[in-house]
Parts: sequence; structure tokens; C-alpha cells
Amino acid sequence: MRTLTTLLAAGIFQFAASAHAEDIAVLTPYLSSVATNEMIETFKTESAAKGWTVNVVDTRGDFQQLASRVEDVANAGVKAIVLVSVDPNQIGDQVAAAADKGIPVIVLDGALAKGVAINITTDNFALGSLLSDYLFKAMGDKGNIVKFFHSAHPGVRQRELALDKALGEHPGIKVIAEHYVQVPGPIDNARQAMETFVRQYGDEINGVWAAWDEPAIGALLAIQSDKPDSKALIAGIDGNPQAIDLIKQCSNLVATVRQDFPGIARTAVKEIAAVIEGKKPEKSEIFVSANVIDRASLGVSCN
Amino acid sequence: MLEVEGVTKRFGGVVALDGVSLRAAAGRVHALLGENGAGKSTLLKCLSGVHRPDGGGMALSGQGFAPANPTESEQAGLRFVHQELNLVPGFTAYENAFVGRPYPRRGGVIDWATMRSRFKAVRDRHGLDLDIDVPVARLSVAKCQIVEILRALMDEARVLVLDEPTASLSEREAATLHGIIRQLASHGCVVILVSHRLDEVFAIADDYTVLRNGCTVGSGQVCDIDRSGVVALMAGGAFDLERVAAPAAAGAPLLHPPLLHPPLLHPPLLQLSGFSPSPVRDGLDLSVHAGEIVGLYGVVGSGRSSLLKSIWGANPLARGGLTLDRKQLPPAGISRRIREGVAYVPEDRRGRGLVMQHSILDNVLLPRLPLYRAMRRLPVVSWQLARRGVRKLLGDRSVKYGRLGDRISTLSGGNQQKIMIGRWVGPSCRLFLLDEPTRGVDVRSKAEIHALCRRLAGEGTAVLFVTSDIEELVMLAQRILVMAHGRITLDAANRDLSRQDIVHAAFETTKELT
Amino acid sequence: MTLVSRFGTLLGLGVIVAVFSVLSPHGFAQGSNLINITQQMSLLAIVALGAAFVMSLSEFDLSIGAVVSMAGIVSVTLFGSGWGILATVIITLGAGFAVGCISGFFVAIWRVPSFIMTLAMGTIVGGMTFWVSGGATLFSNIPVGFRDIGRGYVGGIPVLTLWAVAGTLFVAFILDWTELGRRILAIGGNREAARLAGVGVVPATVWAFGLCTLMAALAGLLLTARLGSAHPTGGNGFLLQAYAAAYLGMTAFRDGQPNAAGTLLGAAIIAVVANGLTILGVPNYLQDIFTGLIIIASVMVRNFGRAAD
Repeated sequence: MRTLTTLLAAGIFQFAASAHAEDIAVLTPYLSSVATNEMIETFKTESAAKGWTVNVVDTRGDFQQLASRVEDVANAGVKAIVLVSVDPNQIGDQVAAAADKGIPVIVLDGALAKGVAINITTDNFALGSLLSDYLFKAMGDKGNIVKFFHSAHPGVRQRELALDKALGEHPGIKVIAEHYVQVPGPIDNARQAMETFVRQYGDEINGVWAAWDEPAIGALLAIQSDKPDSKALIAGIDGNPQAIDLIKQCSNLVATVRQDFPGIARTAVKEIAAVIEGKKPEKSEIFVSANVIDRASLGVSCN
Repeated sequence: MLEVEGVTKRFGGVVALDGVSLRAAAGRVHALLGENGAGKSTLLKCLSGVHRPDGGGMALSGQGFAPANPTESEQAGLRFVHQELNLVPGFTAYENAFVGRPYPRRGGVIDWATMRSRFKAVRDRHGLDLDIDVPVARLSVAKCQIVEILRALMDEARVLVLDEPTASLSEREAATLHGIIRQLASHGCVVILVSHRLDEVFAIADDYTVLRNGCTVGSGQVCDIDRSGVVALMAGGAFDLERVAAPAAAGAPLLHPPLLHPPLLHPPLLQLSGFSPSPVRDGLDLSVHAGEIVGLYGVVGSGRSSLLKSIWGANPLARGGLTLDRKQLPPAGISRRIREGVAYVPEDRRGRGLVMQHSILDNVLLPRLPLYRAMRRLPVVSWQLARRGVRKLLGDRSVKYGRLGDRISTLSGGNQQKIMIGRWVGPSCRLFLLDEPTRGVDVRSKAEIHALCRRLAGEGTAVLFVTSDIEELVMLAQRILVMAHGRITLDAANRDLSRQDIVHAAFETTKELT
Repeated sequence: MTLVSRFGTLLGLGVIVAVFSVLSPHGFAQGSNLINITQQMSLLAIVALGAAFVMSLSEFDLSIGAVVSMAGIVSVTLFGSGWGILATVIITLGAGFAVGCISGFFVAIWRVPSFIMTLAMGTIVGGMTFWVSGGATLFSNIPVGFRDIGRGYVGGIPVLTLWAVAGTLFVAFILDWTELGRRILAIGGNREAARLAGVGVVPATVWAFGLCTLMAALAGLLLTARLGSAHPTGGNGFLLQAYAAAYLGMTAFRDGQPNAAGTLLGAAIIAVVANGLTILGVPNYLQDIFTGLIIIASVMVRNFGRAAD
């Protein structure tokens, strides 16, 4: 019992000692997502170079917690609040309250809302269009696709809307099946759904449109185990390292649209430094560009 | 030879043992007697190493014996068999015997064959009849008791302590167990028997020690004393069984068989016709009149408890006709019976009667919550009314307690039983159903409960009680019903019956079947 | 019952608050932050108070997280189709109550283990929530008047805090002052004894489960008002925390029985730890470890108190 108390106290003291440097609070409900993680890791490295202390809070999909934690860090008087992969409108009051306290709120890969100083993101609609156009072209503008989506995430939702628009422009493409991917655990969830689709439709599936790379990987795993001879083309978004590896291996996963996550994080650090120095940001929304990674861009030849 | 000399034990300011002495010889059955609270349990806990005595000494075969914990006591060769069964229902007898004991192993895994054969050897050594391959859940209570005893005897035992071993057994099962106990003693073991059943003590014990208020007040050979002598020792010189049983205020000083049979001019209060606890059994007929005390006797498995529970409406499978004061009631449904003024006290206080971890107050209130409403139409409890009412009720029943908020498990068995009965007593009560009303209860509480039954009957309430204690049956009942295998085999006024008649009726059908 | 076992958990909260106050006098110990904590703990407290009903029965309801999410989605959907605030609130609470009644009915009549029954019920409710919402976070059409029930202050006290206090009084009233509450506790203590004493086990069980999910639905409404949005899985995180709070609550005031004040205290401990550690900048994973250790420690303190009895 006493040991336990001592341990607890020691742990708290250790962090308390470091809690009063130049604090930046980074909050997200999705730390386990690869893209979010990549942004936060880059942000931490870049911040360390500036001499800032960064505290990362992950609420694992829980928005009530996220709201509470934003209140906490605002009360603690941090220099800036960084929200990653979250739509600030979902916690609008808390963001506005932080802004009222004079704490700049910077959003990465999210959206604009009242009180948000800058939103740095890739245009998700553009990403969705890029993915849809690439996939449809590779399929020769006709065939059936399976759609993996997750409307709860506002950015991912934009990609879905882009798909709908592209489908309207390409009447040869049909959505034969669709699945709402469960988070956390998207890979396995998508794999299980894809197994069912493969059994049901077999060769009728010509393509897989995945709103991000994890379900694309899940779909690939299902095809590799249940129907290795399938010609279905799979494409996702994010430039997830595992996905890139799979593209190199000449699998059915043929492309991913890479957002420049490190670029987003680096831009954020630059903007925060300016805001802390008292400069007003030039624009409230900064878009970082994206590009398609496929066998050609990776320099691999298959056959 | 187990010797206890001048042992004292204090808990805070309370003296639980105040110089207890006991000498129990090998090869003999030694009865440890006393009312609840006399110090029997504390003494046993000193022997088993749960408590350490504050003074005095204990010796085993002449060597000093001071166990610091139950393991040391067990290593010294003491074995305890408690009143409550502690068996895993899904395990067989031999699996149960090895719970808490190192399993025999072969190649790192449990050696089932050795396990079974070791247990079987112990069984055969004592010449007992027991199926060791079925889960104990399918054995009778008596057989389970035997499993408990065999479990205690798996390793060489020097002292075997049996705490109320026959409390839940019928006469015949108890008789079997008595034979086993005698035989264990003849193997050279010290057997200490704690019992509330004096007939049992006189049947099998060689020696006795009586405790009262933490002191040894008498000891000797059983052949040198009679029942009233033992009762006098347990209760103290001033105690008079008859006086407590029928206080002068309550009217007629009846004790042995109440001779009055109530006039049968009125129709019966409770009338069963073709009533049965389950659809597969034949229906039976039975009637109880207002102001009558009817005793229902039978061996375990005769169906007496399940009949009583079905009359209470707690058995959804019950079938047949049941009228109360000429009003037809459905075969099942408790709340209707409560509204009609029926009360029921189940056997097995801990398992079915009381919520042991709740307070005295909560337990008393449970069936009577609507009596203590703040406003008549709102189901909101007025704690002020409730406390006042409960205090009065407990006072009337002379229940000894600390505070109303104390857990009911802190009370003695006798006081718990008085609460279970007393909480139903009220002006609206017309029929009392009591299942084993005095099991595991000290002599004084038993007399008080009997007096209460007589008083209720005197006020016009009908009392129907189930008992497996023939002593209690002939002492309390005006009319006696005997059940065997789901049928009523005897229905007659107590004064017209001899013990032999009753026992015969209880075993009649059993004999035919076996 | 000794003072230690009765007030040990309260003392524990005191110690935790004291430690945080020393470590962070300008962040944690600020009055505004302490008031804010009462607001942050309020929703958890309300869900946990509901859980106290089924824990009093010695049962579990694993659907409460899903019911919190459901209430949010149902209410925003109703607002979207033009229903007024009062009607929406009543329908949502009714839906929450109904979920528990169904679970309670199965548990009481067919003796389906509550663990399984409510797990199934929670899954069904979760599925229906996704169906209604299409999986998306809903944030349009929420009337300002509705949002005010979950934000802002009355006399300097956050509205949510007042809700939690009201919820505590409500649960305390039901459990301690009504016949229903006493019956629920008796069934939880010894079902057979309660039944034989004439307690209607079925209605009391149905009520307890219904009240449990009613509280969860209330929390869902307040969560939606507080966030101004409804997320189809937004309440799922409450499930385990609510039982942690209710269990902590059982260690306080009453000898191992669920009780309203204790549950509030349990929620306070969890909220204080989360808030304090965030303000001190302790990484996320350590917060989880600390919270788990505190639950274990509080139970150990209680057992020491018991042993001293």
C-alpha cells in the first residue's frame, strides 16, 4: 500500500516538475490512427527543436472527455491548443471558451469553427476526387466497386461526398456493396466485411474504394486469403507506410493518395511560433498539397 | 486426550470466555452444551486457531497446544465439521474431499485415479455407504454431511469436532449419523459434539461439559445426569422451562400436550382440496381452523416444506384448490396471501429468510413497508415511524440487539428467528406458516417462540408449523399431521397419539417402498 | 462500521485534491478549475447513479453507454424533424426508460443473466443508433434553448453540476426513502428471501433497469446539449467509467452497498484524477494507469477498514 502511494506520488511529481515550461497541449480522439500519430510525432519533434514542452492527450473516440480535457488545458493556461483529426464544431463551446481566454486553437486535419485561429489541412474533398478519378481510370471507367467509409469523421465524410460526385460523372461505375468501417480496429473490421463481399460477389468486384488506407489494407487481406486470383484494384488515402509497402509488393492494392502529414505538422509549428510572437496569421485555412503514390511513382514494375 | 484449562478470551470489553475447562478423552463422545452465546463458538474458534486465548492453557495428549492459525490446528490433528455444508455442488464427494488439500499428481497433472482410491479407502475404513461418483448436489443432506465428515478424516485425525451435525437431518438420517459418530469414537478419536438436541446427546454422548456465560458450569458422565439436570445447568438455577414457555400473563399455563382441541363448529380457515405442490404429485386435502396449532411432521423428502411453501403461494407449479375463510385463492401468488393476512417464515434463515448483509431495521421492515408510509397513498418510507415501530416490535419479542442499523448477521440465531417471526405479527394476521421455527435456536429462544405461537393461537390466529424435531411437535401442536412421500399419512389430535404412532406414520410409506 | 471504512473513500478524495493542489497551486487549485471539475464529473455521475440502481439489484447493465449515445442521436434527429424541446426530451427519456424495462423484463421473468441480456441490448441499441444517424455526427438543428440545459451557470454554479446534484438527490430518494428502493436493495441482498417475504421481484427488477437507462438517457441529452453535437458512439466511453465510479461509491458511507452519495464521490475521484493529471501534463497512458491504481487502492483501503472492524 505504502509502496503504491509512493509510486503514485513519485510519478506525479516527476511530471509536475516539467509541467511549467512553454506548454502546448495536443488533443485528439484518434491517436491510434496512423495518420494522426504521424502528424503528432512530427509535431513533437519540431516542437522540441523550438524548446516547447508538448503534452499529448488522447480520448479514444470519447468527445465528452475531449471537451473536458480542452477545458482543463485552457484552465491550466497553456500557450496554444492543437486539435488533431477532429472537427472543432463537435466541441464548439470549449474551443470558443479557450479562444476567449486568449489561447490560440490550431486545428490539424480538421475544419474551421468559431474560435479556431488556423486550420491546417489537406482539402479532403480534393483527396476524395483524386482517389476516385485515379481508381476509375485504372478500372477503365466501368465496373463495380466496394466502398469503405466512416461518416463520423468530418474529413473522411468529405472524401465520401467527393466519391458521390465522381460517381455522378462516371455512369459506368457502380457501388455494388458498401461498409461503414468501425473504429477502432478498422483493418480487421474491413477485412471481415470484405470476406463476406468476396464470397457474395466474387469476380463482380472490380475495385475497392477505401476512404483511408486501413480499410484498404483490410480489404486486401481478405482478397489475399479468400480469392488470391481476384483482379480487383484497391486504392486508399493517407500514404500509410504499410500501404506503400503493399503497393511495392505488386498486390491488389495499387494506389494511395498521400497527404503530406509531416508537412501539415511542420506548417503548424511554424504558424504557432508566429502566433506566440504575437503575429496575426495571414490566412485562417492553409491547405497542404497531396499526391498519388502508385507502382509507377514508386518505380516498381510488376508482371 | 484434549484438555482445556481455565481459558479466557475477551473482545474489547466483552468477556466471551471466563475460565472454561474441558477434558475430553480419546475413544469417547464428548457433548459440549450451552445456550447460544454461552461461549461454545468462541471455544471452538480457540481450538481451531481462529482466536488466541487471553489466558489459560490447552493441551493435546499432554503436550501444550496453542495454535496461532487454522493451519497449525489442523497440523496438530484437529478437524472441524460445521453445521453449514461447505461443498462445491458440482463436484463429486472425492473432488470435494481434495478441495484445499494438495492434489495427488502424476507427471505434473492431477492423478484422478489416486484421488478417488484414497477417498474410497477412507470411506471403506469407516464402513460408510456413499456413492462417491455423483456430484454432491444429487446427494441428500445427510450424505453431504457424511462427505463433510469424511473430508475431515482424510488425514489422521486426533480430535473431531462436530458442530450441530444433525441440525438439518430427519430422525432416521440423524440416527444413521449417530451410529457413524459412535464408530468414529471407537476408532480412538476424541469426538466433541455440539448439539441443541438433548435426545441426541443422551443417545450417543459419553461425557458432557455445559457452558454458561463463558464459564464451565458442569461436566461429567452423561449416565449420571438427566435432561432436566442438563437444562438446569444450561439455563442457570433460576431458569424454569415451564415458566418461560407460558408466562402467566399469556393465560393458560399449558406445557405438555395442549389438550384443548378447538371446536370444529366453524368452517376451517384454511382448506386445501386436491392441492399439490407439483402437477406430477397427487393432490392432498388438509384443513386448519382459526386458533388452532397444527404441527406437520415428516422425514426429509416427505414434501412437508414444499407443501408449506406452496400454501404460501411461492411455488408457481402448485395446482389445486386452496380456500382461505371460504375465499378461493389462486394456487400461486404471494402478495395476495399477504393481503389476506397469511404470514410465512421459511427454514434456512441465511439462505431464504433474511438478507444477512442488511441491517436489522431493513430486515424487519421488508415485508411490512407499506405500514410505515409517510403519507398513506405515497410509497415513501417514514423512517421515524419505521424506527419507532420496529423498536416496539423487537421489544415485544425480547430481541437483544445493539442498534437498529447493525447488520442482522451480528445477532444470534435465536434473535434472528424471533425477528423472522415477529416481523409478521400484527392485528391483520390470520394464518401463520412456520417452517422449522426453532432450528439452531437456543433453549430460551425456543421456549419464547413456542409461547408466542400459543399466544397467537389464543388470539384466534391459525398456526401451521413444520418440524423435524419430534420433541417440538408433541410439545407445541394441538393437532398433528404426518407426511410421507407427498401424502398425509396421519391426521389426529395430539392427545390421542403416542410417539410410536407418529414415527410409524412418518416411515410407513418409506417401508413399503424400500 | 468504523470511521475508516465509512469515510475512507472521502478521505482518499481529500488526499488526492491536496496532492494536486500542492503540485499545481495556480492551475488545479484555482476556484474556477474546481468548479469546472464539478461540471466535468456531472455526466459520468449521472450515468453511474443510474448504474447504482442495477448494482443495488446485484445485476449489471452493459447497455448504458449505448443508451447515452442513442439519446443524443434520437434527440437531434427529433429536432431535425421539427419536434419541440419538451416533446423531444420526453420521447428521448421514454426511449431510454424502455430499453432498460425490456432488459429488466427478460432478466426478471426468464432469468436471462443480466450481463448477457444487457450486452445484447446495448449492441441492438448501438446498431439502431448507427442506423438512425447514418454513422455521422449530427450537429445541425439543435435549438439554443436545448443547449442551455447543458451549459452556462446558475448563480455561479454550472448547470451540469446542478443536474448531477439533482440526480444524486433523486437516486438517494428512490433507494432510501421509497418502498421500491428498499425492495430493490433487498432483492440484491437475497433474492429468494425477498421473494418469500412477498416482494414483487419482477416489477422491482423492471423498474431498476428502467431507471438505470433513464439516467443514461438523461446524461445523453445533457451531453448533446453540452457539446452541441451528437456522436453515434459518443457515450460508449461512459460504460466502464460509470461502473468504476459506482464501485468506488460502494466503498463509501455504506458498508459495501451501492448508494447515491458514494457514487457521486466515486465520479468526483475519477474526474479529479483526470483533470489534475491533465493540468500537470502527465501523458495520457499514465492517467489510465493512475486511475486503475486509485480504484485498486480505494478498495484496499476499504478492506483494511473492514478487517479493523
